[in-house]
Amino acid sequence: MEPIIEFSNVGLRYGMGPEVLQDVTFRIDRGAFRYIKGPSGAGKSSLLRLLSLGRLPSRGEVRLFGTDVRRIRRSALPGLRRRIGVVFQDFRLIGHLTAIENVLLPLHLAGIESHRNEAHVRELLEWVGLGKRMDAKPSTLSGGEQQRVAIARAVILNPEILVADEPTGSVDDAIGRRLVHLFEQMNAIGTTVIVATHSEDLIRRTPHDVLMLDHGRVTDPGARVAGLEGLEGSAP
Amino acid sequence: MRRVRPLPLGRSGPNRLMPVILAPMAYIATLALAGFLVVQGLVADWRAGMDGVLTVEIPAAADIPTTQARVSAALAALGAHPDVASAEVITAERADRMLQDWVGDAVDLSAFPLPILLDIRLVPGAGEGEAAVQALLQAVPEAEPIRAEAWLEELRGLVDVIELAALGVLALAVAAAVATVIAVSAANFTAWRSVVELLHVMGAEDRFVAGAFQRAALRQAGLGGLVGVGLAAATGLAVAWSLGRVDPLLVDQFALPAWAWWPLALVPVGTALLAMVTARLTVLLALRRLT
Ligand SMILES: Nc1ncnc2c1ncn2[C@@H]1O[C@H](COP(=O)(O)OP(=O)(O)OP(=O)(O)O)[C@@H](O)[C@H]1O
Ligand SMILES: [Mg+2]
Repeated sequence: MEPIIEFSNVGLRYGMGPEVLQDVTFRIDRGAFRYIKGPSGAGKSSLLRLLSLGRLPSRGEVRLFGTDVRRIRRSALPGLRRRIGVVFQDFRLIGHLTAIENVLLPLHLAGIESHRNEAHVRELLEWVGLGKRMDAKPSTLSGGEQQRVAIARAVILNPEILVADEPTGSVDDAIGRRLVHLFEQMNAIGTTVIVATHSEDLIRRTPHDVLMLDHGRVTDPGARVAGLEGLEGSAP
Repeated sequence: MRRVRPLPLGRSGPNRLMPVILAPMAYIATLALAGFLVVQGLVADWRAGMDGVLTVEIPAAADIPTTQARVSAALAALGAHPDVASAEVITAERADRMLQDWVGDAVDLSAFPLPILLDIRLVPGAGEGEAAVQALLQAVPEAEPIRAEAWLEELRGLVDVIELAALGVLALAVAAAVATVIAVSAANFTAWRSVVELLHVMGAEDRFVAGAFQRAALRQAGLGGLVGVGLAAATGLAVAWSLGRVDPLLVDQFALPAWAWWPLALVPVGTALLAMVTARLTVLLALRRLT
């Protein structure tokens, strides 16, 4: 299996601050489902930021889709970013747009708005239980509803990589199971899924490999079978 | 097809202030530019009026026959000169009327021995008529050419000051507008920063984000520019109306030349384009810093 994500000795600092990620080395194969777990402040969100091309590493090498991200032309980055769906820890819905407009936004940015796509968006919002709240502004939605809009927005373009930061943090168990089920369905059709979470419960219920992070360092890369010996990029 | 509503970049945040700030600047810029153009038009009118025209004064002698002899000699000398198209006496009646306007009805002009004025039209290409004047002075040494050009040269200093002042005010208004637009664009970008960062991470192309900002800036600044020029036009009309009450001829004198309407019409367009380009550059530079 080819790696879709490869980190080698990656360090990240914000501005002049200390390194919040240090010597991070791991790889994730195309089509994998991986949790990222670690205490608060461990650097999970920062790692996801690198994965979603929100930042470039301060040192080391990050390879996405087989390419060193530092060698990618600036003009090619937006196209790559659209192949990665992101659910932010704080949702980041656009307050001026309705729920459905927020989900249509990635299609708009990709220049592929169409009737057929809008029907697809409606279907997706129905499916996450927001059929009746499509035209509501985010400020009138509950935290869990906002989170579901954020997830719908992240998956609408059928991304090759789906990155989710605490995606079940604000929803009840039933909805949480539904969302994880959605992730697994995406994973089943080939999407590489990476989920940062604190939740032991979530990991126990839907078990997948877990990358452990602590104080900015990887304490366990999590690929039980091929991962450890594959660290140097010599997977079968 | 449902369109994602454009982000309300112009209708909320600092951009809302753009028309309010730019309208007075466009107003000042338009008035300054109009002032400059009016002065240019006046000078051009004067020059055109004087081109190829000379006035010569023949001082009145103690007795009428001598005076008449001087006038005849002058007309003969001028009539013979190839540079002169026509030379005629400004009739006493015409001169009286011109003078009477100045001194008022209380003074009886017929009591004074008035000089005779000759109105000379030069043929095209005769320059300032120096050759003709020389010929005249040989025939009638007492003749005194009235140097309208010299008078205009003295006015030139005043005209230069007025034009420089108008251009200075225009330059200041433009500089202030540029500074304001830069500041408003930066503040606007900051206000929308989290949304911009989100769009950026979602894979928005730079030109998409910059396009949204520059369209909003274009609209807001264009609105400000139109309001400013509209107010300036109202001011101009009010001035013209007041001038017309003093003397309708003054309105013609101070009217803008036809070609001068174009630069004025360009003020709102210039304001809008300025804001658009500034917003675009501000956003593109800021986006470059976002990886
Ligand atoms: N934008 C930023 N600027 C400066 N420092 C930051 C920034 N974001 C995160 N940090 C710092 O980086 C470290 C890791 O933060 P990060 O958000 O990645 O942790 P996390 O594992 O996601 O925590 P949590 O579980 O609470 O979400 C923290 O010390 C944090 O203060
Ligand atoms: Mg976090």
